[in-house]
Amino acid sequence: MRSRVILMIAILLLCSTWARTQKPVTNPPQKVNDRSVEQLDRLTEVSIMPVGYSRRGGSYALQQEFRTGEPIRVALIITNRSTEILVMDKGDRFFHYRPRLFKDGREVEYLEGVKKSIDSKDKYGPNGLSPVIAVTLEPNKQTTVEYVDLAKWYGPLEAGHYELTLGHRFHHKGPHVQSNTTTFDVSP
Amino acid sequence: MKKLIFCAALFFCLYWLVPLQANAQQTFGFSAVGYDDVTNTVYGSSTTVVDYVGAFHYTAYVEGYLYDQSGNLLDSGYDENYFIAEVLTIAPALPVTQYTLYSDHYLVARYFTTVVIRECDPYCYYCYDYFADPYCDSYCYSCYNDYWWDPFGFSFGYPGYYGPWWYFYGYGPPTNLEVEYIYLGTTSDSLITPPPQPPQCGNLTVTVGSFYGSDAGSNLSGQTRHVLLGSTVALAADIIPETPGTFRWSIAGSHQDSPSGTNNSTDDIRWTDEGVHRVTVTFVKNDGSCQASTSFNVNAVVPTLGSYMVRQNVEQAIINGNCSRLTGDTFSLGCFPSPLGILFDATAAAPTDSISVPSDSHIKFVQIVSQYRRRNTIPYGTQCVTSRTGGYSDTVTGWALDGSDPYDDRPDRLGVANFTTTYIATIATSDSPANPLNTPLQYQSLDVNDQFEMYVIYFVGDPQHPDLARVIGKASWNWGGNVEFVPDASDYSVSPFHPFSTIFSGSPANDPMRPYTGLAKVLETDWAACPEFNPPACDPDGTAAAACRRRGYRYEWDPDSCTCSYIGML
Repeated sequence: MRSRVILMIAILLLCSTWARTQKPVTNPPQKVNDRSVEQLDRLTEVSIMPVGYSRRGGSYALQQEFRTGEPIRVALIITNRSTEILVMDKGDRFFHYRPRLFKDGREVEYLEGVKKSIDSKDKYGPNGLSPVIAVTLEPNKQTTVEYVDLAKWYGPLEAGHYELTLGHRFHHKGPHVQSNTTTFDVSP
Repeated sequence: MKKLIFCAALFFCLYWLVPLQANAQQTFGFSAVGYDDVTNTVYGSSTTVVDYVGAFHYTAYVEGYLYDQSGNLLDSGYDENYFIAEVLTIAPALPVTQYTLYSDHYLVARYFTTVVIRECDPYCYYCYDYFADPYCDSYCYSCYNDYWWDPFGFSFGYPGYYGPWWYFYGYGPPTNLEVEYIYLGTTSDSLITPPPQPPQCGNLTVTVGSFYGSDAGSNLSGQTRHVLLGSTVALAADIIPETPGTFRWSIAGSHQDSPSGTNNSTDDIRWTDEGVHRVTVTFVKNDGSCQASTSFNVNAVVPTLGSYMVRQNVEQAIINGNCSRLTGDTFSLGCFPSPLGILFDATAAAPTDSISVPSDSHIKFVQIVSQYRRRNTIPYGTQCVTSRTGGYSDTVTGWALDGSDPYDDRPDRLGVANFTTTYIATIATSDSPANPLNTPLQYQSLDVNDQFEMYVIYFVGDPQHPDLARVIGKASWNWGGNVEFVPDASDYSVSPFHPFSTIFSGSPANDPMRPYTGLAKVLETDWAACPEFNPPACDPDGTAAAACRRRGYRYEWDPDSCTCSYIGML
């Protein structure tokens, strides 16, 4: 009799320990608004620079002269000006980014498919169908978030002198935080 | 001579591996000329090969002629045999001289038909048939001729001059020939002998070392080291004692290299095929009086997956959850920014004795997805976002790139990592998929069955346009479940795929990625008719079904009978 009781207690203990290690299906149904979203708008600085892949360094490096047909990427760098860790997401480029490219003073149009995508994102916001990749922004540090491929927005660029700015939107109905203006040249 | 034998073996294998062409027999002919620097001799090999079926009717025949650049015939020969006829020609070699081998290829018909000719020839004063011919006199005699059988019609071919090898086809039709030897064509090969090599310098020693690796700078002569496939190997050679001269690099295996430095003393090499390859460095003194050399081996390998850990959270429906930066009620894996949906941590390692430039090799994640999301809303009824052809349960079709390649291109051991000086690379990333439940409109129900494959890719060069890429690891995962809106309670009932958080491992892989097409669908305007949705004839536009759904969750629509039934409290 005594051994049976001990066995039952042991089973109960084991079950309760196992249950504690598992997370429940339903989280609290209500969630407090995430204040870090607004902080991202206020406490970050967005900067960009044109880059090319450098085999010597094994990474992308500043490059302002390109040949036609050569991949042209822009490093998106976000600086956290606060003393707290901030977390942003990336992965939905047509929601987050609004590049504006000027060739010899005239704005270059987006590809037709891009226009459709950004119109949809502007109207409906993010919808969870794109990857949501967490990016941690350390306090008072610059973080390279992504290398934006301009060909995906504009197709291959013709020869000329270009100026580029990029607006970055952290959340739906948030502002596009504007970057610096950077320049590069494409030669035939 | 070894090269010659190798070539002969290679061509022989090539011949037997090539499938026979339908409705035509084939014969293979080739010429190979080689130079043996030990005996200072030029060798020629001329071969005709008849296939198994053809050998029943023909024997192979070849003639070989070896010429120098002045057109002097140095050696010749012929051979006839059942399957393979081969003749070797040989001549002493002079430096920097061109030698050319011509091989004339024939088939010899094996069978003939004897035809007795009973015609008289009034002009040659003798007849073929003494008894039948009125002109015949005592000198006449009966005569006959042999006609050779060419069942595959090789004699109708187009003899010509070809390169080192050629297939000769018998196109037919079958015919009888007056000649026994059927000329097929001529193949040829040539080479130019190298300049004379200076003798070995007895007092000079060549060393060769790498700028990278655990024993960087040490002499690798006679040893074997690993290198990472496709990545740069920076080597330097030295001569002891210091002597004016030039280095020459001889590198086996498929590779690219760029010698540089003083007198070509350094070389950056990238091998593009796996396996053991020999590197030989030869130093020639400036006055050309003598030379010295050394060599070592490299073993080009693809790094392997060290560890690949995946931590997956639970799916949950949260009122006003705003998970993954969506607005309002959400169904999500985890709830970005905390907790995240799924986290990936992968490590790759190469042999510790590698000598490649570590920063030239990288790893990255690439994710593909087969999406399936099905929602029901009052105004639009049932809609899906998917590229699958078979619907909810079809996880074979509809695969597309998720986001971009790389999945996460952040440097510094986040989405993309370089190998360290100890030839280890570590990357980490995450995903937090989600779906809104009441934006831009209230969902009555949602079904999600998104299947993913997250690959770990070894690559060299630009992450977006690599020179070389190989899959080394793969983790398959999914998220989803069923969410039903409960209007009376303003809540949702949830049946998640993953009621508990899990930890699992990705597995090593070396097969290429699963084929995928284009990019995953990401727009609100991508919601469309579901692939498996076939509206019943009694309700072709779905109006009755939508009306039933508007009556609330206590009513259920039966598409088979097109009835809206009260199902009461659940």
